[in-house]
Amino acid sequence: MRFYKLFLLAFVISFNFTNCSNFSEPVADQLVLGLQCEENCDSITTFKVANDQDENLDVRQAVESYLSILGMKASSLSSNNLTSINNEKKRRKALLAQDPDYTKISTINMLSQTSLAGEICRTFVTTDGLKSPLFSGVTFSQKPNQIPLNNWMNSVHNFALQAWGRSLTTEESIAFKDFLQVSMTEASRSPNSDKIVGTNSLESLNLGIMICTTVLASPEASSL
Amino acid sequence: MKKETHKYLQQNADNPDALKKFSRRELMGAGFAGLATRVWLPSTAGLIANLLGTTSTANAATNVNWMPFITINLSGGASIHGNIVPLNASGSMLPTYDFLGLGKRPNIENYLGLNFMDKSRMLEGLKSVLSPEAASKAKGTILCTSTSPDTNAIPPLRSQFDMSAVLEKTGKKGEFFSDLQMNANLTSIRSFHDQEPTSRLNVASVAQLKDSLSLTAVYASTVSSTDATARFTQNQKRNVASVLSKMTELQLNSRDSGKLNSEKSKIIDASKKLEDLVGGTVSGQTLVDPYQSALAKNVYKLTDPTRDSASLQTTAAIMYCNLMGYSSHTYLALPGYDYHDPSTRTQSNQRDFEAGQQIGRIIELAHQLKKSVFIFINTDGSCVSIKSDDITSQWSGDTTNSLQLIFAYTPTGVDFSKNDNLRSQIGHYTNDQATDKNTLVGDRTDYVAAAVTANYLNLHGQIHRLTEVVPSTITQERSAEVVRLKAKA
Repeated sequence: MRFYKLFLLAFVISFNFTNCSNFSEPVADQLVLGLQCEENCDSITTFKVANDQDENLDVRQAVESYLSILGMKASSLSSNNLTSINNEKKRRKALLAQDPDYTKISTINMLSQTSLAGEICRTFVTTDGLKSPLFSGVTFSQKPNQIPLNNWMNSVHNFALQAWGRSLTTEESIAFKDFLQVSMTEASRSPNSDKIVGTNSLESLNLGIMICTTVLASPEASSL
Repeated sequence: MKKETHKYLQQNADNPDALKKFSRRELMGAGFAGLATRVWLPSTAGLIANLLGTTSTANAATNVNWMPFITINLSGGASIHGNIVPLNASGSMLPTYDFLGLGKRPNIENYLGLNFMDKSRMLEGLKSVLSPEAASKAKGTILCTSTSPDTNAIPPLRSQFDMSAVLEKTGKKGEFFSDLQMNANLTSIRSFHDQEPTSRLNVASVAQLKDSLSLTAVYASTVSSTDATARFTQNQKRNVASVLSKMTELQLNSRDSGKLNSEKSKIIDASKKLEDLVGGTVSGQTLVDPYQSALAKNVYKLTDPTRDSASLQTTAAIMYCNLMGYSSHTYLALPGYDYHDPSTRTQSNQRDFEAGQQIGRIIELAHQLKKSVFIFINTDGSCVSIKSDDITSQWSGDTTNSLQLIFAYTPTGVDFSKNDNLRSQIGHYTNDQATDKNTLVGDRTDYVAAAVTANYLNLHGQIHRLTEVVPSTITQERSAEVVRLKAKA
């Protein structure tokens, strides 16, 4: 009975979020895959929840996982940010792989996953992300090339630990260093290089979004 | 986790279907994953199966250059037998066609290998856009079927003519898209044996199609003026795609297990295309734009995106994408084919003409692009006319007796695989003007889909894979009964 109650509670919670009924953040697994008690509740069976609203549950799982990795809660987001994420979900839901076969993964699936991750990373950086330990050592009021490369790399390591559960390999570190160096150079050439958002450098915020996106959209984050 | 669940998972560690039923949390609890924060994306369950060395896509690696495949659904019940003359079991004309809107004995004009009634508006539509050279390299075949009429609002009655997943099963893969659709809300067909493709995109406009191939939203070059962040240059976007491609290569190559090994290169190739799409000199947005192709503009008579109808532009875009190999399957549903107007045949004649043009444009564009193409035209039910010897007799109602159509074009031409009167016909009508339901395609729509598949496979010399691709339908031994088309040697 205990689990039956849990399932019901999860269901109730999901339909009572204001402006965020597309998310089920505290109990994602129970809602998406479902837990149901059988008779005396000595055993639990799992089942796929009926997709009554024609929602791509895979997109929902991806969004919920991304939010979870970044320590974000849908219930804490502004309606603008929720709308923005939901719009991206709608845009991408037909383009993320729905068949559980990795061999069918296509370019468009990767692109969609990257775009979806990007939107959530934008929300992260423009809300509480700047205070997150994931960006420790990065002072966003400075331009990208005023911040030491090692500090940016430290952020990449932090994101990798959080999303991949391991440190970067030597080869990955080299690739990300190249990425950061090119990004820092490009930021200094960008038409927005001197632009300030609040007290922060626009290009530093953008580089934060790029780091977050690339780590979340890497295969290591999306597979075992 | 309950002990029973844990035990079950451990006992079924080599059964991917069993594993797919469980949540990430349960799998991790059973030792299949070690990190709570990893993202559980749809690919993951399949990857478990792959890591365990099992496969889910049989023979997908078969190295075949699959022809583009396009499905057109004439939604509502088009009277194809009012345009193309069906024959009886012996390959002779029926005693009369006075209920099929063809009069007593219609004059026949053979075009694309099909017996068109000489005044057919579908024939006229085809000829209006198809060059003689393209026509000489295309062949068509009719399938004599029984399908429920007007099934748009009744999904269970829809014929199993959506073959997007069947195509994937052959190993066919679009460069960017799995299934591109247009007017999906009008659809009167359903998936063969309820098998769904990897993904579907119902395209409402060319802009939407372009949008799907770009890092929109946060990575847009221009965003809302109220959002100061996220104005990225092309070089920055390319840099993101580049490091992702590199991570894909490094991270997949570090794994050594199961089927993944044989698929790594394909997945890595797909990631490299991401660089091309996002930051290449020719962007994905340009690739799918029919206005960037002089040939597509010419065939579809596109002049100005601000003036051409959205429907024409979108149709041109999805057909062009399919012929270029960007989508595995393209599906177009056309409205207005529930046209058994009780007064005149004005509307139905116009619709038949438009259907002919749609088919003709695809073949002509394939011809000009030097690509092959396979087209499946289907409809839900058909019409009967009032009993009349006049070929202009009005339609009087719906009927389940119906024809479905397939066409194939290759730059080197298409041949029939048999040489009798029934060479362009699968199944037959009876002398009382009804479909013979005793043929392989006469009664079951999944068998019709299998017959279509058989012809598609045969065009590639792959007929031996029929029962693997469309199981539980037509047996390998009887496949010759439904194969009509083959590529010219």
